[in-house]
Amino acid sequence: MRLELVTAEIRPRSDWESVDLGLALVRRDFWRCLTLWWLAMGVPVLVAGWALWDKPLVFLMVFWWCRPAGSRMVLLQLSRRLFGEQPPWAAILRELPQVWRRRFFYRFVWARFSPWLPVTLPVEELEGLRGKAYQLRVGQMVRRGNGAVIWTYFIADVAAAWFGLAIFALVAMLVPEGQDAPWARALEEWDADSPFDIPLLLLRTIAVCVMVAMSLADIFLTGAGFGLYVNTRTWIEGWDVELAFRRLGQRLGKVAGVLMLMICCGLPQVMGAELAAEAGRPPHAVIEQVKSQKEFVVHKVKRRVDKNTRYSTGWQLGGLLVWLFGITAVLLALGFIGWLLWKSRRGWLRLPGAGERPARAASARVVLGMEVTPESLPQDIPGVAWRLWQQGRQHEALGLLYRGTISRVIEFGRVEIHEADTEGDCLRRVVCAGTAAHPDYFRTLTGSWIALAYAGRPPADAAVEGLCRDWPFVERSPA
Amino acid sequence: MTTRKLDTLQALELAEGVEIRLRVAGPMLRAGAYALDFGIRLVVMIAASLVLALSGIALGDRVARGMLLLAVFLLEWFYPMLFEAGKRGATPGKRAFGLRVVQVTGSPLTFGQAFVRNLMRWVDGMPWFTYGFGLASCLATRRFQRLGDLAAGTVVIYDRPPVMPLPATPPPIAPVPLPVGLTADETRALVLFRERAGLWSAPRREEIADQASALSGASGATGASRLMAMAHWVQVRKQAAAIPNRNHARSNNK
Repeated sequence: MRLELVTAEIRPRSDWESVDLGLALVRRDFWRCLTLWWLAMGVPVLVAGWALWDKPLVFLMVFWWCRPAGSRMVLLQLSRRLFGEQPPWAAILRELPQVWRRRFFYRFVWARFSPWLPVTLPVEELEGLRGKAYQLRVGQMVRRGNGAVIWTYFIADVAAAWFGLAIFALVAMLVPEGQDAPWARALEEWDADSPFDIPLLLLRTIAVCVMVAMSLADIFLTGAGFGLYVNTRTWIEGWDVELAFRRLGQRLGKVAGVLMLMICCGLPQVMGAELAAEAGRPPHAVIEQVKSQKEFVVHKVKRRVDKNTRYSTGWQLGGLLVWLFGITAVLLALGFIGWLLWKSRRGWLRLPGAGERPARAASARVVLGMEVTPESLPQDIPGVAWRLWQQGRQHEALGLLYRGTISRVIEFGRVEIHEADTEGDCLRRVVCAGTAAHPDYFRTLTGSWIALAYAGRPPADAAVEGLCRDWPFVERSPA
Repeated sequence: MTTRKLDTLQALELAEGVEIRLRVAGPMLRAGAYALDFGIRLVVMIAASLVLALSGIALGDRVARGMLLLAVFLLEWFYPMLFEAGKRGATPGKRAFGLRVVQVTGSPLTFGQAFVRNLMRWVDGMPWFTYGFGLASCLATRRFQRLGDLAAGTVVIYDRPPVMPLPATPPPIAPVPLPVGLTADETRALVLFRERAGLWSAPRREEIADQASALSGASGATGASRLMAMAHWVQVRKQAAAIPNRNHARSNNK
């Protein structure tokens, strides 16, 4: 590290100004940072993407977990560039496996949830400390700008989600009209009854948006953490003063001859003038006299400081916060794993009935006084109904058609129909259920059925033939 | 150094060669200020709708609804405008976060600028309501300006002086006059060395002091203490001269 080559103005800043410096550092190398970030994350993205293509949310989770690898790469770029050096590609490629391997357990498992990550990462990466020395150093570094560090950490995820939304909105805005058919279809498939069964296409789109957002949020917030780190070091190591003194030294070096003259002649004169009053007495007598005055009495105070109260309450609060957060994170992770296991219990337990979807319980067995269970109906409903109609048994024919339709609507269209529903209620529910329940057909049929059953007005033969012919439900075994 | 160094401060030269530095604020605190303003507006709207709902009994439903819509319109568009065009140049949220809007030249906002700046909020807020455009513009420009800022020629700055920890400094020493004349920056560094010395360990202090051994004429602990003595001399002289108002070499970023 050669301080004189620094490419940003070093001065002691307030916490948020140093965050701004970090953002400015990232802005200067934005494209390079982004490239490096994706370079670091590229391999796992490809592997995980291939393995988890059908589980975008799990994939996103894995991606999020691996984020520090990308942050490390960004940090490499930012720190080298701050001291005036552009890391060559060869060095970057050499670093590539390292960002994954180096202290894997610590960085990716143990300290993954540490809210001081924005600052501990630079300490670990750039100072290469381990163990006790690392702990001490981190304790020293987070004493300043603690609040900003923790905010930066928590905001990273909020920002990723928010940017994800923004990118999704941007994509939605920019997709040309007429080209959004797959998404429109996916949205249509999205069942209001089971809002957590999000169609795969939508999930994948969201996952890609959030991934891009995560990369953007992470490079900027890694930069912010680095800015905080540089600021803390500027404070506790006096970088700015050192730089100013160095410049001063260089300037004065040119007039060194003059200066030497000044020191040789000027200083002793000044000092001499002060000492003139004391002249005539031996120096040690003067010293003794001065030291015997009461200002020089040495007082000794011993105070026992409890080890636990070494830090301010801020630290304790922070510790409590971390502890709470860690516990919550572990519980969440356990819960998530438990949920995954529970979801896939059929797969790994090989329970009897594996691979078989539990039959959806029909919501009602009797509607309008008519039995609608599939067992109570013939195999070929439209065929039987048409035959009945031709035999003149009009009520039976349309009744069979109607209750057959309700049965199929319950079974295939996933419409919830209750026993107390009237024809109008049924129609409304079918219309609400969407195209899978064929509302148009149902509306025509209901009209005919009501006219026959309640007004005694039979529909025309052609209409009934049409109804039987257009029967929209696919039979399991066509007769 | 050939290239200009990156900085968050924005140096401006005013008339008579006075230089000021604007401490331009980035997006993080501004987002916080926006959230706070949003909360304030929300509370006001809830209160207004309660009042209007009650007065709706007397005024009639449609009048009350119309007045509510009018209130939403006025609050959304004129809340930031009026506050920013005001004397403090900041909405309550910005004030709470120690921010302020000024022109890029550092002078207070005119009403026209506040108007343009907040009219562009609509564009900055896209896509949907996420402020994605504003944020992107903020991160991409040197002075952290969103599109509205660019259009109106304004910047958001930190208004409050930063808190500087002042550690216990070594007690006063016999002042030693400077052997050579120093520039304002160099004098400042010398004073900072003394003020912040309490933050550094003794070896680090000496390390820094060694860089200026050309000034102190000594290295190690002797050099450090001699530099402190010189800094003390500077401070004593400054205090003596501070009674008549000296307006040169005042550092604005402290």
